[in-house]
Amino acid sequence: MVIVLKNNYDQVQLDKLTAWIREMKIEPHFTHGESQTIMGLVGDTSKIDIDMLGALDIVESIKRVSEPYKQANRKFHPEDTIITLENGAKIGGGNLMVMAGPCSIESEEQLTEIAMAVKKSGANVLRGGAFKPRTSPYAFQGMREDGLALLIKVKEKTGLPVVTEIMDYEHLPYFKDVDIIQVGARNMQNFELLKHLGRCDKPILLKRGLSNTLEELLMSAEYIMSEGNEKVILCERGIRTFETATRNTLDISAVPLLHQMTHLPVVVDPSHATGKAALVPSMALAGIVAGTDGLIIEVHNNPQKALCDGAQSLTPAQFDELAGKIAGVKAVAYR
Amino acid sequence: MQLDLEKIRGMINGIDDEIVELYKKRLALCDEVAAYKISTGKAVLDRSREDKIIERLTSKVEEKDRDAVAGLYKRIFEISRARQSAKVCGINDFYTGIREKAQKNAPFPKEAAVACQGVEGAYSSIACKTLFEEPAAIYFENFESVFKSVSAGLCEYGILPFENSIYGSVSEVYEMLSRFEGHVVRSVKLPIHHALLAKGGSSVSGIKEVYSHRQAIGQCSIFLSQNKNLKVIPCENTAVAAKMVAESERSDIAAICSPTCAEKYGLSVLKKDLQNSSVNYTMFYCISKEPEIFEGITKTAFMFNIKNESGSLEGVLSRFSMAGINLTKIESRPIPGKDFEFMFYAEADTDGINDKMLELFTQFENELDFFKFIGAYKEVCAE
Repeated sequence: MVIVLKNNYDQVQLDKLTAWIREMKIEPHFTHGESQTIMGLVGDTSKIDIDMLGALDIVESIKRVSEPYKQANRKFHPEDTIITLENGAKIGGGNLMVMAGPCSIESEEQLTEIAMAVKKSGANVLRGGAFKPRTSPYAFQGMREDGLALLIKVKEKTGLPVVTEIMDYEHLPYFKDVDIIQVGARNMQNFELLKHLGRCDKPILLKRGLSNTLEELLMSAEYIMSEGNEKVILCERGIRTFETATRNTLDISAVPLLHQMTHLPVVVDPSHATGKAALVPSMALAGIVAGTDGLIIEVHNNPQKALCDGAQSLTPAQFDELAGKIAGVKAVAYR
Repeated sequence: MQLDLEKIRGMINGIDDEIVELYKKRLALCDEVAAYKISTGKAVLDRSREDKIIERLTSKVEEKDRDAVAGLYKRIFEISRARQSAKVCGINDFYTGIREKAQKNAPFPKEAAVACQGVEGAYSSIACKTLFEEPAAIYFENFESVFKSVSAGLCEYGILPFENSIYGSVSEVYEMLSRFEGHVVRSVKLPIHHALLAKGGSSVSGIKEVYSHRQAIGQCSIFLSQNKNLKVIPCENTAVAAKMVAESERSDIAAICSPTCAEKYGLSVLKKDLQNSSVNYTMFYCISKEPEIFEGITKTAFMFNIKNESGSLEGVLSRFSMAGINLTKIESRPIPGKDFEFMFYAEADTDGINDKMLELFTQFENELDFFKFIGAYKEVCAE
């Protein structure tokens, strides 16, 4: 249920209303926007008489939210959510965040070299996988906690905030210096993991599952938010279709659709979506035109020899060229 | 003639003595019947038995005396029924609770969350401030939401107008009293002074449109008929009208409302006391969810519904008089959705709660189609 308050509402009357709503074990969430204040109610609101609340003098309008996702719903929060990292970098509400780096962390030298290069090109977050969800148990599983230690070392060296994937909530202690925790597509509906992440204070990059609908993606975001963590970034990374020419099909329409459905920032991962380095720049720019709040792009200094997903990685030089185009396209197309 | 009258009166006294002796015997037999009904759980009212008695007795007398006999026996049945009912019912749990609340003699609260219809400055909000020293007033657009907010526990009390001395009853409030949870805990009589308010610099002659609540419009009908050029536009509340005038860019519109709205909304008073009569009062009820009884009761109010047949209202009224209850008001209100069926609303002057009254209410709850205790409260008068 969403209650829009009148501009000059009386605080005493609002306090009484809030106390009464809490008595019914319903938590009100306030959004103080520039033009209006919104009170979103999550919980069993079926016993609330909507006509009575609508007749309150302090209430401008009231409606039930029919969608199952509530806190992630734009009706709850009409203005874009802007997430700010520790170093001040922002995403959402017109702030574009470019995350770049190798699919997996291989060595300190490899990571440092790539980090320096992407930073120079304009990336503001370094990505790098330590815990890798591989399709085959025989494939390289990532450097795990050692990889995370390297990532933090390079973060300190370069000053770039870092994003990396978590696979099990028991690993959370290793993530204390990580800036953004990524939930991979395969873990999108690992609800226990999501609940644990909901209790931490870090931004979560939540990737869309390869066979999941946007509503399911938002319900996963709701799991994190319902535990108190409202810093969720959604990621479109391609979905399964009948097409075999690309690894997945980038659902570009998800970007404007999600912007209608939710206030959370939306990023595009053109690398995993296509699986082909040659397609990455076009799809990255398409994401910008569609209004994405960020990009997450795989960059490797020697893609042929990469231990993971080499075929979809750009070289630092290719990324540098793309970064220049991003700035140009953003200038004409960004929302 | 003088002698004849004395003689006749003597004979009447003699007959009365015989009647009383026989009536005593009849009452004793009736008490036996009552005891039987209690032990077997049978209903007090046995209409077919009563009809048969009247039929048998009226057939014994001449045509001209039939109505008199039927009338007498209807009253006798009413009394018997009251006696039997009292023995069967006693005082039920609800009215035992009422008695306990009345015995506490609690003072009226000073502060509370109070639901009012309208906005700050409306007559409801003035009534609220008259009753409570420190109310947290919460405003609603309509009466129904005032009831609902009290019933849902959002507000502890609600303020509702129920009668105006010129314009009469506020019918929707009566209807809601029977439909919603809610009991009257106090009433206040508020003098109503309507004024014509407009933006500073306006004059009466420059006003083209007037906004107000339809009751206020009705109470100022003489002024409005003398100023036929004024276009009258009803709105939900007098203070809302003042607010609209204040927020409008136009300076040729005015509101009919309380002069207290002038300060609140930054308007000036163009004309005072627009109401038709200098005696203009509105009565407001203060309602709570559960019945609450505070010190200084002066009134008891209730609502009931009876069978649509001859004598049933008289039957109910005679029971009040038998219980020594002084009814000061009885009003019939159409039941919404029913084809001219009526609900009765009544008030009695009472300076406290006594067992006779509670026994009667218990009996009515058992006997009547509908009976609701509205409240026992103090009627206060605002200056």
